[in-house]
Amino acid sequence: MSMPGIKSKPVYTGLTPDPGACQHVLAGEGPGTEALLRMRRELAEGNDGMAPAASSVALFYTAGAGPDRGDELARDGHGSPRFFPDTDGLCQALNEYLADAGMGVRLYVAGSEAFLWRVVASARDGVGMSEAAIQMERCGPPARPVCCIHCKTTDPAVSTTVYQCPGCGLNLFVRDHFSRRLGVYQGVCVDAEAPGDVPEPEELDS
Amino acid sequence: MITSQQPSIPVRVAGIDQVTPSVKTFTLEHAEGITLPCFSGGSHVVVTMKDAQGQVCHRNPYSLTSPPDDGRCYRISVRRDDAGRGGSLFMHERLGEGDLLEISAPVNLFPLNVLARRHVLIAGGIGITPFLAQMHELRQRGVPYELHYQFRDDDGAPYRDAIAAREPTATFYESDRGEYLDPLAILRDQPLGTHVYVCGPAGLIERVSDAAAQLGWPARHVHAEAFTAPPVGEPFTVVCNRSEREIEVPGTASVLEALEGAGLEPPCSCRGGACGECETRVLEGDIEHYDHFLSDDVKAANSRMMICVSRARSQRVVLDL
Amino acid sequence: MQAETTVAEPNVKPVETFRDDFTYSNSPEAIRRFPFPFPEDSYMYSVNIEPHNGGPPGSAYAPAFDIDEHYLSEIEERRRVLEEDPSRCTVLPHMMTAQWDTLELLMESLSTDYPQHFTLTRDGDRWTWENRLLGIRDTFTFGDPETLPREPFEYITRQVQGDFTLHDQRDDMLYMDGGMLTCQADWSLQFDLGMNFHEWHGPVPRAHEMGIFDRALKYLLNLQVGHPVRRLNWTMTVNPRMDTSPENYHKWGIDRARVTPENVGDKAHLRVELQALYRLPRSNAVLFSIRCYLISVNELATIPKWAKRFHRVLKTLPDDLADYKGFIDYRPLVVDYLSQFDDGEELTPGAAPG
Ligand SMILES: Cc1cc2nc3c(=O)[nH]c(=O)nc-3n(C[C@H](O)[C@H](O)[C@H](O)COP(=O)(O)OP(=O)(O)OC[C@H]3O[C@@H](n4cnc5c(N)ncnc54)[C@H](O)[C@@H]3O)c2cc1C
Ligand code: HEM
Ligand code: FES
Repeated sequence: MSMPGIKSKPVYTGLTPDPGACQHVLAGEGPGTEALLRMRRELAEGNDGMAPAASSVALFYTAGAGPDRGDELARDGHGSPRFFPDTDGLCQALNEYLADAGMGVRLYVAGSEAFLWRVVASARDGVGMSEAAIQMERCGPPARPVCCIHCKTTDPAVSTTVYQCPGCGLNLFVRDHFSRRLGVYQGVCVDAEAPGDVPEPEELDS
Repeated sequence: MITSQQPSIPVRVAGIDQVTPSVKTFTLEHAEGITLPCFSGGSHVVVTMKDAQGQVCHRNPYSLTSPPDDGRCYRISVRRDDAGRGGSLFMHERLGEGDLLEISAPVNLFPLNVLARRHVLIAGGIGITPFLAQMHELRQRGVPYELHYQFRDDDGAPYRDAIAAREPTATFYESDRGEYLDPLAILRDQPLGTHVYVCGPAGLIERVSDAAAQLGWPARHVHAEAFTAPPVGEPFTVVCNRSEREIEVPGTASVLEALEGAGLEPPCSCRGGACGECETRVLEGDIEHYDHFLSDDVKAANSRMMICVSRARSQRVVLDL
Repeated sequence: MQAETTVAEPNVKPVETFRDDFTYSNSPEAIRRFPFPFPEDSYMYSVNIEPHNGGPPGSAYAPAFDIDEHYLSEIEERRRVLEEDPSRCTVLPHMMTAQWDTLELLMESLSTDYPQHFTLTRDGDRWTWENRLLGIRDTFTFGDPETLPREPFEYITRQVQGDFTLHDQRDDMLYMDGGMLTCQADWSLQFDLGMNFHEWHGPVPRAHEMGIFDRALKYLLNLQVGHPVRRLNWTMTVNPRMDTSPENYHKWGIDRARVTPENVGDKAHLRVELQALYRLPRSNAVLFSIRCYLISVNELATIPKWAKRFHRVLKTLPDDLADYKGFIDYRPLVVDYLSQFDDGEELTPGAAPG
């Protein structure tokens, strides 16, 4: 039933410093720590002939989906990260920062899929940043944010192909169809044509 | 009846103004006195010019400069180009008030991005024309914008005074006085969500695009329109192998239209090079492909063509029809 | 290339239902003018686009926007769906100009094609719109949303049969930035809103790989004011249910399990969408109209050629398409039922009934 390669499903690549950019901003949560550390190192060293840009690298961090590895970022020594208790706080401060940045800024986001799209939506709708200036790296277990098409309840981290909607209780199949505006996959009633006939949930692998 | 079908629009030249020694502005009204369709800023119309014998002699695109929401008339401004094939000279020398012309419905290849938070408009000389309509639209929508207008001298600066009077954000650069706009300075401190638009000579477009790239602007935020001459067809002859007929295809019609004019009914659907219905085997001849249907390999092999859009590069093609 | 065609005078029926007791049915005239979508004995995806410049007198292709005997029923069904879920009509804020463009196009087209039912009077910006079928007469200022009881797009699409979507064009791409969707074939506007052409077509099998969407998109990006185009799409629906939305799938999905050899002729419906695309003048946006027609297998079988052809198309339709369209489970019942009408005779090409 799954549809591999469906066009609306985002393809995540690893973060790489954009040599065309003039300013770099990193935003991440716990599971993204590895990627953040790597990016900071690469930006400081300047890879592919790019000038080191450490002075203009800002980092916004929240523990989020966890585990919290904020102390590693603090110890790392490249610039001073800004820590936030939750994603909302992070997004707000990030937007204030971006509002003063110019068109040459690039945003690199690392974390769970739900986190990635919350940050993207906030920068896009808040300060008009285009997705062309944003890179994302999905980190941690492959859990998906899924929205129930019937009652509109979003579960931020669904890890199986079939789950029960916390809003309406229907058993939902997780489609690969993804909305970048909402930052969610679509969950659709799995047993509408044969009530009670719910397939065994399988672990999502991507 | 489908009310929205308008193959072409007959217009009457209601007024001609010499705005600078080399630029004339033409006011066009619908020949039947009815309103013209509204359009979006940045649109152009294709003007069909006919000689004394009524033969089409030129088809040139010109940007609409009048307010987009005013259907009473359109205005276009034409710069005289003595090096061209004669379309602008025709407009300047042969056209008088009261004359009839045919124009296409407006087409926009240079639209404003509606999501932009701010617009930077950069014009070179006659390249100011699309911005006149766009600025009207932006003022109405209340979106912030700024205009930078580069020209050689007064002769090359149509509408300079009108713009200076109306646009507090406009900056003028007169190259004969050593003034040149600096794209890096203009683009450096623009906030996120800005889009830049440039219309003018190829050199200006290149400088602006280079500056934007150097400052790290995503390419999607950079828009350009060059007034380069579009591909105008040359006439050629189609030989239909099976029906043994020879049909002339004028520069202004497609093969499909010419065949239909000769009473043939080749299969077709979209008439725009997308559906594949009109695919025709080419037995002889060299093809200029304009369709989205055939693969690059097939195009290179010259063995087939989409007769609704593609043309011959050679003077004669033989088709399996 | 303007085809002068005659538009059928709709003989509008009193309200019938598309839910619960399903009183909807087609008159013999409605059956004959049904936009049957199969010119050949088999079906596969293609870039089936053609100019929307009229059609045979009285046919569904003749007017810009077809009004037929089901007008009042479909308008009432739309009202009920919106009452339950107002988000079925959503337009993103940057599409306001496109909303007015839509209102103008629909009012102009309807009053030209159906002067007996609709009148538009323009006095500068002061417009008066009369819809005598619904008893509406409103005077408003074009361009000023405050002067209409609803936003312009919702105001006018509540008065026209069929769904509508609105598309901004930017970066050589079309985006789904608004719509009125109450009779859709199992896709969600709320979910697809803001998507690009390739994303919203994501779930469709095969067509991406066949290059169909790339070609179709390139073509649509060049769509010109005054030169609308159209295409047909089709699927099957159990019961004459207009609102086969994913939102309500948990309510109607069970219908598919209730088709039996005894009821298949009445329950199974061919669902055809006559889709037209218009470039809008002020906004440079694209309006996509999706006019849905439903016909039961028994109604269809009153046209012998159509029964035979539909039988052959269904029998040979590849499984992945039947699965995507949602009728793979009850397809054998329909094919068996239709086989009684098919003597195997060679059919004339084309979709016309005779
Ligand atoms: C979208 C669009 C909008 C435009 N809007 C405007 C406008 O608002 N105002 C305006 O004045 N113009 C505008 N133009 C340009 C206009 O269409 C004409 O190109 C221009 O008026 C010159 O016309 P012409 O027939 O005299 O010369 P063209 O034959 O069109 O020639 C134009 C230039 O191309 C060169 N050229 C032509 N043929 C050849 C050849 N065979 N080999 C090499 N070089 C050649 C010539 O040097 C000449 O200077 C626009 C063009 C486009 C594409
Ligand atoms: C702006 C115009 C268009 C819109 C808004 C649109 C919208 C849609 C939507 C929402 C779907 C359902 C996808 C799903 O399952 O979720 C669909 C299916 C499809 N579309 Fe489009 N479409 C448009 C134009 C086209 C064009 C021009 C073609 C030309 C080939 C096309 C071909 C198809 C096909 C083949 C399907 C599968 C239908 C089926 O098998 O039932 N679409 N379209
Ligand atoms: S008619 Fe469609 S490709 Fe030529």
